[in-house]
Amino acid sequence: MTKLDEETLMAYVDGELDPRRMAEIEAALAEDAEARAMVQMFRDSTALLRGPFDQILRETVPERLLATVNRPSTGKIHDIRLARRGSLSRFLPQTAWARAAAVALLVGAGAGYLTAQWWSGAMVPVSLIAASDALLNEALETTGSGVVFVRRDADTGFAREIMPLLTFQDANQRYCREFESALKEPDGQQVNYGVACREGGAWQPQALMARQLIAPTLRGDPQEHSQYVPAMGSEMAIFDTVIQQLMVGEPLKPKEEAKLIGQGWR
Amino acid sequence: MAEDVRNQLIALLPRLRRFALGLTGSRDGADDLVQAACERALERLHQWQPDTRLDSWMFRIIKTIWIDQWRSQKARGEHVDLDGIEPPAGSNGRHVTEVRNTLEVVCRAMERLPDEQRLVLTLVSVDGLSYGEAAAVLEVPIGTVMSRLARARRRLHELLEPKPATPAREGH
Repeated sequence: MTKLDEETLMAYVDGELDPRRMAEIEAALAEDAEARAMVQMFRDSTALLRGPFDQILRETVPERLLATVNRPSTGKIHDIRLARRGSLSRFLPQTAWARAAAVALLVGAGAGYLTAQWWSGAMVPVSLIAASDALLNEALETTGSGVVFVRRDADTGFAREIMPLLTFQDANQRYCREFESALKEPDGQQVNYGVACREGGAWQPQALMARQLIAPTLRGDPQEHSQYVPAMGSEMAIFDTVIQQLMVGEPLKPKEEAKLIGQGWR
Repeated sequence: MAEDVRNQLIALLPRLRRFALGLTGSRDGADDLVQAACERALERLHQWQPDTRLDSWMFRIIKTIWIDQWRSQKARGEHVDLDGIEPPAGSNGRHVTEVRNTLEVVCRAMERLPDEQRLVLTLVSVDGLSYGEAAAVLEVPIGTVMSRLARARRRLHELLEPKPATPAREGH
């Protein structure tokens, strides 16, 4: 008597059994309606997945992925930072956002030409950077690159996460840090990418790029569901030029960074 | 040598995107995940043994990054209550035949599976790995692959198949 447990039937459907065992199951199935229904269920579940997911294989691979694979390695710290970038916005509970808007960037004194470049691009500056951001200041002062600093925002009550990505020096020998910041609201989140430099004991934002991510609802306009967020590669490329133009020399190594944090950046 | 690996990696990208989509449920999230995995792989190319399969190694990297991120979200209390959300649009109505096969609906249903079930389902039922290959990627015994896979498929079937006699909402 052949035992037709669930996992054996699944292995039969998936072709994981040897020919003799397959034949035994087939014979047993002829007399067992319940087992036949289960076999059908396993067949259906695979069919449900295959069709929709296989359409991905026929799509053109986004340029940014090809560029990632083809890019010559630029040195470890850069690679690590690039791999970290975006991690605050990845893997939200519901990750198919209906909309994303890339907006704005404003830069402090001495970067007029950069501002002009962004104005001519697709991005629209929305506002001046808030003059003081106590949480950002605390995060950049105390947190190593790649570590997430989490606090509840006093004004809104929403969670605020800040992750420094990279530390370097600019032409005026100020320490500067690239960071990612996310404010998590119930229906989405705002993610900022920014660069701040330390001057007079405080971190002054130099450039900021905001990205609004809105969680979709299942019951909304079905057309909106299929509207996927475009790759953010081109926006980040502009942001990278900001960092390249500010940075003098190499990024700081984790050890150097830890030492500076320990000494209050002196 | 390194160039050869890059070419192999490019050839793998469509499968990696499909795998990542099964995990993240979003196009944007999937491409972010594949990008992070490619960056990590190229950084650690010296760890890959050329006589082993590049696809298994990449799947393992994607899995690791996804689990790390997912766990850190959970640790920060960001996860959704999976039983509290509405069932996917296909599970309760007359539109079921029209929408059942759309990627969106399948992804929403997969989001309701525990992550270890989603991993094994994506490896075996979406990518088509054998149980043994999936066990190697996940570093678990074949028996574990089978029990997770059976549970995942039963649950997916419940979520996506029309049930004419049941009321529109679960649990009421």
